[in-house]
Amino acid sequence: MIRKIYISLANRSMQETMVNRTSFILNIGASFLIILSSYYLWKAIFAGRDQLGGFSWEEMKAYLIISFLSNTILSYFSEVKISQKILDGSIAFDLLKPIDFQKARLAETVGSSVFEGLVSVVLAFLFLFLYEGVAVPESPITWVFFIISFILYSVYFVFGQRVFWESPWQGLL
Amino acid sequence: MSIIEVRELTKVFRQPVKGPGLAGAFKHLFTQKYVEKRAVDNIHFSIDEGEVVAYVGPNGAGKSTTIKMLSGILIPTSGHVSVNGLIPHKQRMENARSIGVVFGHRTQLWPDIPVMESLTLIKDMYDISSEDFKKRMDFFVELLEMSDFLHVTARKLSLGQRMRADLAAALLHEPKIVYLDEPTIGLDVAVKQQVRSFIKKINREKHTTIILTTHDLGDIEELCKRLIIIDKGQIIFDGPLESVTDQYARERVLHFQVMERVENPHQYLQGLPGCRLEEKSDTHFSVYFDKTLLSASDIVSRFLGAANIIDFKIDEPKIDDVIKHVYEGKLHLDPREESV
Repeated sequence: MIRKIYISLANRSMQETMVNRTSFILNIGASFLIILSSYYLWKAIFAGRDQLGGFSWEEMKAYLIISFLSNTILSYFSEVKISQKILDGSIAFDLLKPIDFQKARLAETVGSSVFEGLVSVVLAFLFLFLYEGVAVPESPITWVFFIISFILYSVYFVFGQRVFWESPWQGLL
Repeated sequence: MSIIEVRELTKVFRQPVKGPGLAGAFKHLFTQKYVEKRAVDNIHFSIDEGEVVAYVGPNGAGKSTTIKMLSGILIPTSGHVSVNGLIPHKQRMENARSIGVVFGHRTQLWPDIPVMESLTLIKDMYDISSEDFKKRMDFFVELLEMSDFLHVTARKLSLGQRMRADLAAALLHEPKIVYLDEPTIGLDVAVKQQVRSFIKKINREKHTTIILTTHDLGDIEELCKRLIIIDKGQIIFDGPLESVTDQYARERVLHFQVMERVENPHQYLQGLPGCRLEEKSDTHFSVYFDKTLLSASDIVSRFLGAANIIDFKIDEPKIDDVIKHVYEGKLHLDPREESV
């Protein structure tokens, strides 16, 4: 059973994500601009071609959506926050609490990601609605590999904590 | 009964030595040199349950390093620490349940959510029942006058409000031991007094053991009966505050206000041991004397016939003087003689 504190931590982390209305709206706008600009860039590259490097235009659209979702759900923000705590010493407070450090940080990351993720899912579906849909893989094995790769993507989270031993958090990424 | 036991505790840090300028930084890329810094050097002490102890020393003396080892954040290089029967760095989570920590320079509150949200988070963290939480919050809100800012985000609080909220956050789970690292730093007189009264009350009513590191001597005099002085990683004094004052803060000052200037006032002190005179203005001079060698009346009697005295007052020696001298390296206390 998950201790209540980890749910509370995720809750507070979610609250912090929503705290600044202007930056929140700007972030949504910026995310949408990113997905739109990549879409038109790749559309121009694919103009007059059926395939490029083995990818069809439909598959490329699926790739764009997935990379957008993974980037926003497990955002840059989470791992920077962990590294920052270590660098500025505020980690001392986390270690003074009777809770597991890793689980607590994971709860915070999940908390902020859930909200950021919800927003990006809405954006992705809006995009799909506006731009005729994408090719969805049919084979269940592809879906399994996708989920595994998505979990492995949380390597960001792991690397954030590497700062315990080395100062620059982005060195190995 | 001792709640904290520290024996032969040492913490050594490895510090990089870099040459000056760009050349030094570049050289360090290839050949690293390190020196060992003994932040805490073979210290011993024990603290009883319910004691309020001032743990003082100049900057860089090893105070915070000791507190970090006691709270389990730092692993000692050697020696033994026991807090409430636990070894803090090996049983960090169990130890965390029985301690509370306030760092004057930092906050444990979440910056962008209301103070109350941070406090309810702590409620869940220590599994405090809703009933206890309400009771304790009522106590803190009344004593620390927190009702005005519980709904405000921590980032928007004034320093005094932030410190009061941090005290509540650190004590919400009613820890047996509280480490206060400069809890009154930067606070105005009124809030400082409020914080001190609160700490006193917590100690008196809950029998909480308090270790206070501070540079504010008012905090020490008002709150602590025992003083531990650390310098260059070593404990140079551990004993009752009074004994320090009695033994080392002997200098009293007698200030004279006179009607007209006294010609060469120094002559009247001839033959009196261990005293000196300082002329502050034409009509004001002060005599510094060792209270164990002379009494105030010895001095006053010398001036009675010679000066038309309007008023005089005595400044009693303060712990400030002793600690200031230790910080300046002018006073060397021998721990073997003074330890209790």
